[in-house]
Amino acid sequence: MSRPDEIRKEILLQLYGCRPLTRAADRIHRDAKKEGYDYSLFEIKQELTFLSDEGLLIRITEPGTTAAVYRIHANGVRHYEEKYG
Amino acid sequence: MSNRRKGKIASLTFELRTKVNTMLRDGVKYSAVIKFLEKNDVFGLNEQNITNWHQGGYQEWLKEQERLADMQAKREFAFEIVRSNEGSKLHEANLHLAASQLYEVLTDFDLQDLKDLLKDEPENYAAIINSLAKLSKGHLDLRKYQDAVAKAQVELQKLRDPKQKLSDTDRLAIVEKVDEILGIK
Repeated sequence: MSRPDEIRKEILLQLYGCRPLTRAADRIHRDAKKEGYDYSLFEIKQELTFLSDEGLLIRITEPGTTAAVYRIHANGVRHYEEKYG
Repeated sequence: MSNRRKGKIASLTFELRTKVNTMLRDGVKYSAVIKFLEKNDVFGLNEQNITNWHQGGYQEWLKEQERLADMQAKREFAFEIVRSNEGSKLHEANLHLAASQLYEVLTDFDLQDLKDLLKDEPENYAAIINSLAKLSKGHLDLRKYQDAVAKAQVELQKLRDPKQKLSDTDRLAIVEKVDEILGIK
């Protein structure tokens, strides 16, 4: 599995696990680090953008801020289960 | 999109693969797993295939299931807190927002340790949960909410040591601090 693929899997796992709640990039990065992964926040954000563009995640801007949070889309749920489940 | 495992078990459908993993977790014999798959029109597997999967893909699945179970518990706990405290009065979007915020607080804790610590002191559990849940009451002020959660998290850090006993002073201080932050008292 390539590094971007590993990062995408980790992102999808975290958002799949907490669905339908939302999470921010820094939180996803923090928890990936806790699991022993050395992904940078920049890499996490890159793959979040990729997965959103693919229609697997939904990007939401928190009200009153410019901060972005992400939630897994139904397509993302199916994709996670088929690819990694 | 990804280069996932390519073995015979890895190539099964999600449903069958999950069933195989569940059987392995339950200690079912490899021969029984093979028979199950044959009943589902999957042929050509031998015990070496099952062994290879057990040592590889199954271990990854097991680790992920543990993480997912932990996430699910914290997610449900966050929703329980919000819903049981006037959550029905909230717009769905605010309910999710509140639960998401609480979920982030809970990810710092071993949830079972926290529940075990408080189970013998239900009055304190209710007080702390009510304080956290009041964060989502009525007109949700997001900045005040985030600040209160962060400050409450600092107070709750004391509970991370499961061996630590809360004194009456500690318990009262935590509840009063959160209520003070929220402007309740």
